Amino acid sequence: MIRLLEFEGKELLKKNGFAVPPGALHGVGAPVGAGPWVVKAQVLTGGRGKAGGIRFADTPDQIEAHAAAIAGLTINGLRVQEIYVEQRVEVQREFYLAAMVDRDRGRPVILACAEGGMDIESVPRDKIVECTVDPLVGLRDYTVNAVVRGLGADASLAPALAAAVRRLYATLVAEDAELVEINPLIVDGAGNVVAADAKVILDEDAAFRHRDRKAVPDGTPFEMQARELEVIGIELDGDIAAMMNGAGMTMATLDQITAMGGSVRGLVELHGVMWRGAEHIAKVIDLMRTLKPRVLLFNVYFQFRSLDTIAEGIALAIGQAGGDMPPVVVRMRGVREPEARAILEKVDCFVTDDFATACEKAIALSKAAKEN
Amino acid sequence: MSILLSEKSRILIQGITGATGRAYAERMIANGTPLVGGITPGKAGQTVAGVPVFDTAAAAVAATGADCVLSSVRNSAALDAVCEVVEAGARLIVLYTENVPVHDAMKMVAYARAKGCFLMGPNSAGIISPGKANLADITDSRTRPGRIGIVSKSGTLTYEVMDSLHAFGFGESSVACLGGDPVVGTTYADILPLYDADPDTDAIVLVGEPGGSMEYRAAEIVRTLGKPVFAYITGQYAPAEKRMGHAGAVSGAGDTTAMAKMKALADAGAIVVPVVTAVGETVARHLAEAA
Repeated sequence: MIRLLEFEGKELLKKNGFAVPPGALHGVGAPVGAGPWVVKAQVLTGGRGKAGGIRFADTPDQIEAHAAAIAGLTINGLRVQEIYVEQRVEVQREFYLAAMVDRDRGRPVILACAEGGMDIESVPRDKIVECTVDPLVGLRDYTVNAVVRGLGADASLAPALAAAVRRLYATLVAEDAELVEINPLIVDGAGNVVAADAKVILDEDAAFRHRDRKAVPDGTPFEMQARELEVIGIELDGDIAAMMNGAGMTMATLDQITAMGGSVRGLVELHGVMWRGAEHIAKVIDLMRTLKPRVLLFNVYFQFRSLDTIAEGIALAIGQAGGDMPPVVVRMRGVREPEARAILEKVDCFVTDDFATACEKAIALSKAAKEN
Repeated sequence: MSILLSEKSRILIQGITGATGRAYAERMIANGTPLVGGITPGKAGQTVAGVPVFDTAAAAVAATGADCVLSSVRNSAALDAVCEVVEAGARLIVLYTENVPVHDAMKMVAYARAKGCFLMGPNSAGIISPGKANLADITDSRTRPGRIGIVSKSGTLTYEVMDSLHAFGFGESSVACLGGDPVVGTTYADILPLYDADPDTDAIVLVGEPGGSMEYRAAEIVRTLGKPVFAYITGQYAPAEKRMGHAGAVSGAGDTTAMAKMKALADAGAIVVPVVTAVGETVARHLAEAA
């Protein structure tokens, strides 16, 4: 998933026909238009207002003072990435409006609430109108009308709000978004419907339909480097770094080690990278070593790929590391197991074909290393 | 018997001339799976592994009477591919392709449901009825015909479950892999009643993950079943908000964690197994006690 910052989300809404307050990133030219302005922390978390990440300014000097204060903020553990300055909108009414993929129903859903601006999870369920859309039928007027009724606005506002609902659903589909949340959606003093905030999550699997979209690097340096090597890396803070094939096996290995009293420093899921060969595997192992784990564990079960490729990769990495290698535990099952075992007999590592035995051994070695 | 797939199934591979499709075709023919043809636009008249290739699903179904399709196409073509074979009348589709956009997944799932078709996936490791037919990313020789029905989101984890069962003398009636994506066609709630009704299945092993509510709907069904259900939910220690390799397995709000799902399944009467390596032993112990 690709999470957009507020200003990126607003660009996307604007592209799809929504009115948004005029604004620009701080430090990029002069403040847009005349004051008053809002100075907003750009960070991928909620609760910005309470944390002091949203401040009002009447003069350019106040903008600078607020921007300096916001730049140093950490909100919910995340550093402020950018500062966005936009014209303050005169609020006549505030609503909540969102469209999202409901994974459990397997359908898009539109959520609406007559009260905007608050954390939607704190709003009582009966105050939220929830309408699913059949993706084969698309958004029809009966659903649009139900959503607009849920917003509880005067009849005079209904046409503009109906247009906003249609635009919202069109944006969700056209942009391959998992979530488009506008909280608040504002009716300004002149009666215009304006998106005053934007929370957008895009589906990275749809990149082939959006060639202009660049993937946003996300995660720890280890996790980002893993992605460059076309594997999935997950960094944790324990002792054992483990490599697996398959997402289920990756989670199960984490479970097994933790349930048996061990801890995990990092996980690598090979994710179909085996065809790249042993040297590539050795590179991934080198990356795992940067986590300084106490033990390296390999837990692979191949029903189609040959185990000797991974065995060669492990042997290569051990050879290249010299004495700088933590203890290595290998659990292998599957295709060309004897050949793979023969390769690993030549290097210093513990080999088994049993999942639980491998985890036990890795935990014992990590505890021994910790005591030294 | 078995569920959904048997020696009487008539199978097509969509994308049969690609590397993955070709490998599947050769393996199916070598192991006796009833593969009757393949679909690749523009390649009609060719053969792969001895079976004919057709340009369209309609032509393939008309010529072969096929009712099951293994689909291995690029992610950008998956929605079209599934709609084409659903419209051609397939009753069972395995969509092996991963990284399918979620909006495409929603559309294909809605269409398959509307037409009464079992769509496994996207991102499904498939389905196998050992000794009868194999539409899965699972080696025939690693399965053993038997009387345990498996339903799982994961492919590789299913290998472990089968090994664990085999160590205690069990085998599988069928193994159904639902797929690791947030939106998939066939769910636990669809599969569990089929195993319950299958005279050749004695017990069911359910393998789940964090994220989503599919396991909760499974728990509701478990209450209504006559056969024992053994449940292992992986990702019990998965960090919240990290993508654990399956797009669907992001553990978000508190109640979609593995631990919460284990409790719901236990409350519904399932026997919950804490670690995957203990599945076989737990099944053996419980069935011995019940006998």
